[in-house]
Amino acid sequence: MLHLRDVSARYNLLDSYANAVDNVAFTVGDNEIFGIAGESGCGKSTLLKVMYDLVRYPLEISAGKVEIEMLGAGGEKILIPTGEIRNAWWKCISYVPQGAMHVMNPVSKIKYQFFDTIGKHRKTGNRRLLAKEIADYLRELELAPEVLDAYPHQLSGGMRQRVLIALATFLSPSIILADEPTTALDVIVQRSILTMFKRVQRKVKNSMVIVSHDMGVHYQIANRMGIMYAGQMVEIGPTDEIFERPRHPYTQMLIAALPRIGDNSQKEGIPGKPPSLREPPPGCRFAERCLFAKPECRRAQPEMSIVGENHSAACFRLNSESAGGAGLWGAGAAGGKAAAAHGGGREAGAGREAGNGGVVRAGETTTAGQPNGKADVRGSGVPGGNALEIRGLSKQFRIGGMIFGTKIMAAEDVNISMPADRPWILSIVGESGSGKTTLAKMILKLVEPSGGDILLRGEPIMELGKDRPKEYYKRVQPIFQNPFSAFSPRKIVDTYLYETALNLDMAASRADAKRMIGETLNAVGLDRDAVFGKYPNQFSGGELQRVSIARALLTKPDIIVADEPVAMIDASLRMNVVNLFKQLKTAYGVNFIYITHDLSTAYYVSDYIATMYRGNIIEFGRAEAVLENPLHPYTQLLLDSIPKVGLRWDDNMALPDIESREYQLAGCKFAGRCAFAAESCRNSRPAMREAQEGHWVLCFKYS
Amino acid sequence: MVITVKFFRFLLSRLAVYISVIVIGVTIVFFVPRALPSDPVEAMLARLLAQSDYMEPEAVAAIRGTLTETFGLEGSLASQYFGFFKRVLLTHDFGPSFSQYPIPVMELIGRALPWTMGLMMATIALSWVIGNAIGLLAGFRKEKWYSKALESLSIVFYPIPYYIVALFLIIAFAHLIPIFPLATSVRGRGLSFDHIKSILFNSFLPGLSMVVVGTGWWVISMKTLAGNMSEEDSVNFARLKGLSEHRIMMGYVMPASLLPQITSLALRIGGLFGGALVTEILFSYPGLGMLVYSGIAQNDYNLIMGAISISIVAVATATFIVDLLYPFVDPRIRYT
Amino acid sequence: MFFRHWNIRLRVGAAVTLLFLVLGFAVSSFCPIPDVMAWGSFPKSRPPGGGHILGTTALGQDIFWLAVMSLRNSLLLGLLTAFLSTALGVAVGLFSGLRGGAADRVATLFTDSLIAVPNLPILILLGSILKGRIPIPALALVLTLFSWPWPARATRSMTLSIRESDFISTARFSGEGTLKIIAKEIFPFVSDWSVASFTNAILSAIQTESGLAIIGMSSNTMPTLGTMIYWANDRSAILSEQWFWIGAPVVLVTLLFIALFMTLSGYQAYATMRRGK
Repeated sequence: MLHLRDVSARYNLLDSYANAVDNVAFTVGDNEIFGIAGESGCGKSTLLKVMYDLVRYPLEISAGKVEIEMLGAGGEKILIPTGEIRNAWWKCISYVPQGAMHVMNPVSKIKYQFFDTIGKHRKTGNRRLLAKEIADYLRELELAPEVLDAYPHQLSGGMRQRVLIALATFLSPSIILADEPTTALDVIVQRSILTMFKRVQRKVKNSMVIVSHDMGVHYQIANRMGIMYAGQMVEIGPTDEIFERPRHPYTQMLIAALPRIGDNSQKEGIPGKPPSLREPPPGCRFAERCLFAKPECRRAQPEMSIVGENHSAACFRLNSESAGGAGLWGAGAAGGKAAAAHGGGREAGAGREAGNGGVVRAGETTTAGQPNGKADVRGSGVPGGNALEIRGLSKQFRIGGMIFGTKIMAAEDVNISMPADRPWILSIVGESGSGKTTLAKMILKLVEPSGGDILLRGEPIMELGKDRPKEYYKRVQPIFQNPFSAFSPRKIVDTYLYETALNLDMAASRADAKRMIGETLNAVGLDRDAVFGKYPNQFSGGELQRVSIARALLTKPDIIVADEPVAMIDASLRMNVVNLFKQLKTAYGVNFIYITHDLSTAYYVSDYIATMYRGNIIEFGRAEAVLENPLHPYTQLLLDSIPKVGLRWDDNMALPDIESREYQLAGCKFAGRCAFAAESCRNSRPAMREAQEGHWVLCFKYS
Repeated sequence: MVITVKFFRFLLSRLAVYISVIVIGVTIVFFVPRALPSDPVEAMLARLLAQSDYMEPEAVAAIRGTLTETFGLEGSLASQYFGFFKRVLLTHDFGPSFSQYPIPVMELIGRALPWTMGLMMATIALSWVIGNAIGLLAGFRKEKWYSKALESLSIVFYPIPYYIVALFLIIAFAHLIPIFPLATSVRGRGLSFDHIKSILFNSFLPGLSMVVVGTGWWVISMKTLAGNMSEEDSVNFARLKGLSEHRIMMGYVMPASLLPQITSLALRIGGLFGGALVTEILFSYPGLGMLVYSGIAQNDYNLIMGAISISIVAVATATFIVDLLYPFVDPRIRYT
Repeated sequence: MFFRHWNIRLRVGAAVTLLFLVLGFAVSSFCPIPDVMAWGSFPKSRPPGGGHILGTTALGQDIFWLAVMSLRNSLLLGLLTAFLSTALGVAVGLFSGLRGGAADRVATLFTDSLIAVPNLPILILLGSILKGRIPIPALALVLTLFSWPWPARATRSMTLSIRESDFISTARFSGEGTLKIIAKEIFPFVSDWSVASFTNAILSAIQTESGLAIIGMSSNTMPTLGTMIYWANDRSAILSEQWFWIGAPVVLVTLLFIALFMTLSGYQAYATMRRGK
């Protein structure tokens, strides 16, 4: 067991302190997985460091302590407090770090990394014996013992993470801490790693603490969880309770904002942003953003109070009302929220269909507008009529020079038509290496295609870009993943806005440009005075991404290509940006090509979805059709692998190894990992077929 | 060792640089005398004749012949050019020395080369090791007082030019406190104790001055590298592993930060060689520098051209060898 | 003031460098002696005093004014070389990094090779043939030949990393032309670093010239700090203990180099801090 006794920790910033962890108290029991959720900067990773006793300058513990409670040899209770925990590292408590990519020593073999960690706890004195023991353990975890003789760079990201889990569990410690263990990994790998955690825990029956920003991850593996906000724990309870009956307003809003596949209801992000940890407000830290805040909330801090079995939350409304014996407000409101999120989803979704049923009708009008009658992926639309037409597009990359290099097909025979009369949001989904970003870059002319055509209203972009570059930039605009790298840190952001307006002849004069920029900034929810004269680092990520969107909108483009535009933005603010896309689509008549790995958001925002796998579009159709009724085995696998909220995984499902770098040249590219692959799949390539009305798939199953 | 594609590519790229260094260096040496307004041969000859009281006409003719050949002035420009390369790379025939006629230039170079090579290898290795050790400590333990002191010291010491240090050592240890000789005189020969002792004794001051001067740069660059490396995820994870700070420094920070220092060493050999030449001259140390210097003093152009061409090839080769060490230290190039 | 955020190293370094610039370029214009190098202008080997602030040399030259003029010439050479090599290096680096492909590979091979070619032997060869008749601008050109590859190399790698950044694409999609992108998006980063490179080039040019001069291979009619040391050393100033003669250029060179290097490393620390802000 691990006790946190009113722990506070802060970073010494020389002239001030950042109070990253404030008065946190809870206990992680034996034989459970405890999840800690929260947004970036909420102190969850710092809390984990404090639990691990990794407190070194500039971090310091300002109050309280952490204690590990164990049973001694004679059954007596042993307490290991902060300051002594480090003597028990790896034997009693171990740590799985974030980002396995860079945490291993690049110049030494994996086995030496095992030796230097656990060598001193195993006094076998014989490295050969120890190596054998480690190899046996790896086999037990279904890992090939050969990895011990490899260098880190020879292993895939997922493999490295598995090795780190093996390292952390080798000595069977009673507590394992993991900090964002699957961040930056693809979903299928993520699933198999989370499953590995669960299996190990079930076998050893120890305690695990998992920190993640992804609520889906917690839903899938945590037994109990805590929600952190601005350095404080605001709610702790069993996972199901947290998701079904959240009590703290922050938790409620956070969970209500989660996009879910199959749920069409409108999601709202939380307005505002978290307070500074340097000078936190005296009252409840969430009061600024809380819909129910009362004056007392801004004066004093609420205490944790019990709101259910094993369930507590820190909110004045809960305090006063539970004191009055009612506690009804909490339950009622939470229930309502939950209903809106779950059961109510269908009705809300229906409402959306009825209310702005434009999406459905948009498809129909599109259909009518095209002689061919269908939005499709074969590029059979009439060239002049389409906002974007991609025909037989391919891109080969050569990796490693002319002589020894290998070819990689980042895009192969990609066809997309986007009609001009009704704007769409088209999501292109896939894992890393699927070619989705290359496709975006080709549309943006940042990468030159090896073959095929990209046409904007019938004009090939290469020629358009050469003959009338301004016209091209007017029609297509990008939004990048990281807004902070989309603007030069050396320039105030207005320069880009003015340049766009003036260079591309959108405004006749500077005054005209100023007015226009003001209007566009208003359209994305920003105020001109709050934007002008600022450098990028003076904005929050969400704000700067809005500026980026406003800049793109200035040219009134036909198409905005957005590459993972919300991946860097916290969950509570993400929906605000995503909703903006939906609004702008109608208000500005702009098509979005939305590149993402996040299927839930794609489902929420898009009209159409294309799934990519190793350079091919393998499935295309209406968002609802593709994600509620996926046809291609790969889309099905992807969908099974995302940590969904509301549907737990089957832990026994075998997942194919998706990380192999091998590129098949003949046959279906997915055949090697496909559960349904037949002989023909390995020998010949399937063609894109319309398996259902408007739903295309690249698979022999449907031919 | 498995020769991987990556390793092979690395090898090819280094080989290309090696060849190109020799081609560029030798080409410059070939064209420098040609770019001058006057006919170098007659100018040299005039100077040579003015210097000596009397010379046999045959000797003058012979010298004109070898001079013309040394500068490669026979035949078309192309054949001169390739002839020059052939002499530098294959035959090593630079004709006889004028000042020590008729000893072939190559023999004089052969005598001087071990002195220079010995001095350079010893001092470069020493300053590299010392400098990196100090820099590692200063960079890894940034907060300690001695790190700051060491850094300040190297910031003051590093920019002091090598000849100033050399002059200072000469004044201090050969003039004011005459422990060491002002000029080299070697006693004994072969592998005798006397001989080796004498070589070390005579090399001490020039060596010391080169080590003092050479160390600063490694301290400064290693400090930055080690400082950055200490912030890396792998080092933070090593802390999570519970390893001692000493283990972390030796096992994690050092290997990773030494890698760029090897590349850096290869890049700096050429510059260090220049410093060694001047140092040799100031200490009258019997290496290539002194040989070139005496050649210049006596207008011995066969000697100058020969020594300079050979030194370019030698430096390029040394650079190439150091470059080749890299993949042995970095597994990311050896295995893919 | 603008130097409010400067660190102590940068402040001291810049102040001393400024002092040297004043001494070299302002004070030197008041030099009363037409040819400071001329032998026998004054009584030989005088101690300081009597109209000669630092005394005279064994060749009958005024040590103070000789040192001032030497400093002037050394600085002039350093600045000229630094200017030429930084300009050339940045241009080649930008070209190579932006152009990419075969042109980049050839340029990179060339710069890498030129860095590895030992320059001093070649300069000695040149010096031995010219026998000290080389004027300062010509010497600056020759030194530039060997010092431009360093800034070229650094500019190229910087350009390569900036070229791929998203903000370059943003500028492109804001309708900016290639030249404007180079000038407004890439150059600010390169120029930040160029200050350091420029200082370093001054340092290495003066260093190389004085190294050459000390063995008598530089201009021996034009006074530089190196030639002054050469003559002092050649005429056994150490043995005859004429400390001002050998001391003046040694102290000047040492202080100048320390000041330049402090400016350089102080500026780098300052630039890092400013980026972090």
